[in-house]
Amino acid sequence: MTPPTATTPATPAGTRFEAIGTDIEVLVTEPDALAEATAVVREHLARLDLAVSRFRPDSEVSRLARAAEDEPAWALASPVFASALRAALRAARLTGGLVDPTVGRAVAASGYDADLDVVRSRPATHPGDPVPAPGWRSVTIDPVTDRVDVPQGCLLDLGATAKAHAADVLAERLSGRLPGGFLVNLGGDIAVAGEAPAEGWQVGVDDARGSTLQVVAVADGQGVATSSTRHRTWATADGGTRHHLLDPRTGRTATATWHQVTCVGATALEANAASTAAVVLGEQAPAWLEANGIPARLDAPGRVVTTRGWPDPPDGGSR
Amino acid sequence: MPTRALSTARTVTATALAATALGTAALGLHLATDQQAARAASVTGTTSSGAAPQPAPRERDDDGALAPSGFGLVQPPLSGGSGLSGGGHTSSHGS
Repeated sequence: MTPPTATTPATPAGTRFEAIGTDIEVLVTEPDALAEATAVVREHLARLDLAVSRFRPDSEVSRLARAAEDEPAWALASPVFASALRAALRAARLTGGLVDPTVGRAVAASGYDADLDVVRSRPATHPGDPVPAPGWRSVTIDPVTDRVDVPQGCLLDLGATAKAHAADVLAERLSGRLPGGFLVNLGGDIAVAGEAPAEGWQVGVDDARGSTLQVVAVADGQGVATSSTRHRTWATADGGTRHHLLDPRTGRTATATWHQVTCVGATALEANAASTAAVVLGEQAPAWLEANGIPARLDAPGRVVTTRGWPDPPDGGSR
Repeated sequence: MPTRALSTARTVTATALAATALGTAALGLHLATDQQAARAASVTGTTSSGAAPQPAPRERDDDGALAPSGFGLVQPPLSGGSGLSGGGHTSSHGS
């Protein structure tokens, strides 16, 4: 953890706005750096949206998916797309495929085929049949040319990792360009870089209603992510609800054993990969997280489970 | 000649320092490896087979640098304050 310095202001400055379909927050220890930091974040997120959004017909992901409708396809990726895809493939490797960027068609078939506001505003429908994912190993990116090859029928969904990776990229970029310390929160995927406030960056673990369950302090070298089965949900015609996290092994919506899982990793990307994989794993998640050295808090109805390294919850919990 | 002797002494000192640094680095690597092995053993309940610990395979990360294939070692988070008053706070609410 970066030790606090005498020059760190007691009260960092920050700003919030919406972008890429989620809440964005930027905190800085040097208030004078806030305007430029915010501009850097906004500019990068605009590029990210154009690169990886499933809901924009002009995005690189959408164009590649159209090209792959009838046969394998390839494209030369922009730097932002290439970076996001490599991050997604890294998350897939880390999790043994529990986080898989090729679940795009499966997610769309489950009903999440447009911005969530659109999905929620239209009449509920019966989800389509599960669509098997082609598998992350079927996607390649050339290390020199950034040529991306995908199999026929592949729709990439980088949503699980693109935000987290962008938070890492942006926190490092801001720290390298501007004085002070930075926290970048992209929809709950949090990266920090540079000097931390005197008591560390205080991160509240919130439930889906916005109530803070616990507060932890993090600093440089630690990323935080929460994956929830209660946040991005929509109603189905059978009276049930669906959430956006799929099990790539089945193409079906992951069983909501956990309301949410919050992880701390060496980066926001690793934290996100771990929290997403934990939701997919269900009851096996605590052991898997322990084996991978991931401090985590897992919330289920009526119980809280933490793994080694996670601070004791104020309201108890089991380990 | 005194100059050469002094130079030699400096060379020896520098070599010793370098060796010490390398030793420290190697020790750090072994410690890290042992920590990973201990961590795995504590979960799986297995013990070391006696084989020499091997460094984790590495891969090219997206910036072209070598990156470990497994999750990186991370410091546990600290317990935060009693609330989120003041600055420097945010929330991880899930997505």
